[in-house]
Amino acid sequence: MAVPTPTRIGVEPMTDEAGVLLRVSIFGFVAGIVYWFLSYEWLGTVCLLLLGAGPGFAGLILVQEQRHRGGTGEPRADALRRLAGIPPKDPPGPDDLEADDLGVLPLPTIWPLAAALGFTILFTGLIYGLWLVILGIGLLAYAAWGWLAAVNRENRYGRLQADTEPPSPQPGPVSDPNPQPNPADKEREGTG
Amino acid sequence: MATTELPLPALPEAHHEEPGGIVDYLTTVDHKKIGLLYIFTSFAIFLAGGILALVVRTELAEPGLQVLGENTYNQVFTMHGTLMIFLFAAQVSTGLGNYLVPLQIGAADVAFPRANAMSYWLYLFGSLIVLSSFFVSGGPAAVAWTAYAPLSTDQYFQGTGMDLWIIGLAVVGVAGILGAVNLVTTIFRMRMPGMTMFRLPLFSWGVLVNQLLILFAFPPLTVVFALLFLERNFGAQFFNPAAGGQPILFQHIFWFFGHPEVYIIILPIFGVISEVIPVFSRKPLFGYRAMVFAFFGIAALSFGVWAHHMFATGLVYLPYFSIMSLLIAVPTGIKVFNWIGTMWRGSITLSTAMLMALGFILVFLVGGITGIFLASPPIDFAVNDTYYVVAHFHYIMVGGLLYGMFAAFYFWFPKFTGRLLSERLGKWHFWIFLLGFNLTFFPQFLVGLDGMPRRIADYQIERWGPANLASTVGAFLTGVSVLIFLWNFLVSIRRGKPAGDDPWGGNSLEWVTSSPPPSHNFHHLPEVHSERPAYDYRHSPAYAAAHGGPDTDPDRG
Repeated sequence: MAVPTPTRIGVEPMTDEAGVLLRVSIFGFVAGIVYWFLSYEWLGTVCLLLLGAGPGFAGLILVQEQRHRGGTGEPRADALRRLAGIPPKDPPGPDDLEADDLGVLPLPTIWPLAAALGFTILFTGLIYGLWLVILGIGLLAYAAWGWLAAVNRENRYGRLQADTEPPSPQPGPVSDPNPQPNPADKEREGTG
Repeated sequence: MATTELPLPALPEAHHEEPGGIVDYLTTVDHKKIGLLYIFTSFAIFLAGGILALVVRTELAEPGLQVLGENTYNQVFTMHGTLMIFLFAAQVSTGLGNYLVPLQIGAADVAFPRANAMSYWLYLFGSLIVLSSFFVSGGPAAVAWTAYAPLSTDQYFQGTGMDLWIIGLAVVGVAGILGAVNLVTTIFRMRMPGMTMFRLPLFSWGVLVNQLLILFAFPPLTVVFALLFLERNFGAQFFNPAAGGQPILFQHIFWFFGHPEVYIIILPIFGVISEVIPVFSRKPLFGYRAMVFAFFGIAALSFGVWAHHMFATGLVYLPYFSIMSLLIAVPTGIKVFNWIGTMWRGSITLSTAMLMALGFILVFLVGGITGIFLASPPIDFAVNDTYYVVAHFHYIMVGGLLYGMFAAFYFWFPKFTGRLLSERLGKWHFWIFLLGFNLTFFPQFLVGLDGMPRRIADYQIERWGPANLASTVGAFLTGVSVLIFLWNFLVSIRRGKPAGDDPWGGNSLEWVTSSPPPSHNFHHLPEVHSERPAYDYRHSPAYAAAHGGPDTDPDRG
C-alpha cells in the first residue's frame, strides 16, 4: 500500500487545477487594485476585479470539493490510482486498461442541434418580431425536454455495449486495424 | 475485446448502431467528428474571408476607385475582418482542440459530449446569421470588425445587416463559452491515470489556457453587443453623449475582450509549434515548465493591456498600459527561445509541418517586434490607424495563425485520416505562401510609416502605388498557395500514402492509437510517466513484446 505524501497539519493542499485558477485570480485582484490607484478609472478596475473573482470562485470550489473528498493533496489522477491500490510511482497499470474502462459514450442524438436551432431562432426573433421569439422558445423547450428524456433513457437502461471493433476502412483511411495489440492480451493468452 | 453487459431491460431498438451519412454528422456527439465539423466550417469561412481580402486588395492595387464604391468597400473589409477573426481564427483551434485534447489526455470523449455538439451547432447557426446579412436590404455591416459606437448605433448606421451582425456574433459568443466550459472541464477532470497537469502535452496546455481566456473574455463581448443592440433597437443610450452616455465605454469593454482575443487565437498555435518542433528535431522540448508558465504569463498580462488600443483617445493612463504591453514580450520571448533551444543540435527533419513551424517563428518574430514599438505611446501616436498597424496585426494574426494551422494540418492529417498529405505539394505550398505572405504585408509597413491610413477605399498619393501593387500581387500568390493546399487535401484524402498509426514518431498519446482513432479512442493505453508517453511507450518492454523489439530510432531521447 502506498504511503501518502505527508502534508502540513491544518493546511489543505490544492490540486494543480485549483492552483492555476487561484493564481489567475490573484493576478486579477492585484492588477485591479494597482490599476485603480494609477488611473481612478472605474470600468477597467471592475473588469480586472471580475477577472479576479471568476477564476477565484472556480478555484475555491475545487479546493472545497477536495476537502469534501478528503484529498491528500495529490492530483486527482494519482488519487484514483491510490484508490485503485496502484502505487503512485511507476505503476504497473493501466496497460491492461480496457476500451470501455475509459468512460461511457453517449448515443447519437438530434437534440443538441434542435436546441441550438431553437436558441438561434429565439435570438433572431429579437430582430424580426415576437412570433419568432415564441417559436424559438417553443423549439428550445421541446429540444430540452427531448434531451433530458434521452439522457434519462440512457441512464435508466444503463450502459450500452461499447463499440470495440476497429475503425472501418470505408471513410478513406487505411491502417492496420489493430496495430498495437494490448500486451496484456498476449500475457493472458500465454498464461491461459 | 472487452464489452460490458447490458442490464435488463435492454433498449427496444439497436440505438448503439450509429447512423451513416449526413445523419451521422447531424446527430453525432463524438468529439472527433465535431472537431472535424469545426475545422471544415471554419476553413470554409476562411476561404470566404480570403476572397473578400482579394477584393480589397484588387481595389487598392492602384490609386482611384476601380471595382468597389466606398460604402461597398467598407462592407467588404468589415465582413473580411468579421469572418476571419470571429468566425475562423477563434474557431479553427477549437476544432483542433476538440479532436485532439481527449486523445492527448487519454479520455474517450469530452466531459459534456451533447453540449459539445450544441456548441458547434450554435457556432454554425450564428455564422449563418452573420453571413445572411449579405442578402438583406442595405447589405451587411460596414463599421469595421471593431464596430465602435457611436458609429455602429442606429444614429449613424441603419439597416438590418448590422443587427444580424450583432445577433449572429452573440450566438457565436454563447457557443464559445459553452465550448470553453466543456474543454476546460475535460482537461481538469478527465485525464487518464498518471496524466498529471505537468505531463499534459503543450498543445493541450495551449487549448486549456485559450479556453480559460474565452471563458473570461467572451462575456464582456456578449455584454457590449447586448448594450449595442439595446441602443439600436430599444432606445437605450449607453453610448450617446447627448443623453449622458459614453462612447469610450464601448471601446473599454470591447478591448477588454479584444486584446485577449489575439491570444485566444495564437495560444493554441503556440501549442502546435511546441508539438511539431520537438518531433522533427528528435529532441524533447526545451524548458517544458517554462513554456507552461509562459502560457499563463501571456494570458494574465493579456487582460492588463486592453487600452493600448486606445492610446490615441487621450483618455487612458498611458504608463500602465505601456508597461504591461511591453511585459508581454518576456513570456513570448521565452517561448521563442525555448523553440530555438529545442532545435539546437537536434536532428532536424525539414518536413512540411516543420517548415511551417519555422515559417511561424519567422513571421511571428516580425509581428511581435513591430508590436513592441506600438506599445510605446509616442510611436503609437505616430502610426496609429496607419497601414503599419495593419501589417503588424496581419503578421501576428494571419502569419502566426495560418503557419501554425497549416503545420497542424500537415502534422495531424495522418491521424485524422490515416493518410499522408503529399510532401511535394506541401513544399510548393510552403514556399509560395512564404513569398506571397511577405510580399503582401511587408510593403504595408513601409506605406504605413509613410502615413497611409487604414480602412480607406482610395488613396491619391502616387508613391504609395508600387507598394500597394506588390501587396496585391502577394495576396493573389497567397491565394494560389491555399489552392495548392486544397488540391493536396483533395488528392491525399483519396490517394495519399497510408500513414500508419505514428508516421512521425510522435510524443503524445494520440500517436499510440490507430489512425483514425476508434470511436472510443483507444484499444489500450500505455503508462504515463512523463510529458512524452508515446515516446516512453516505444521504448518500453510492453512495446518490445508487441513489436519484437524496442523502437530503434537512435536520435530520440
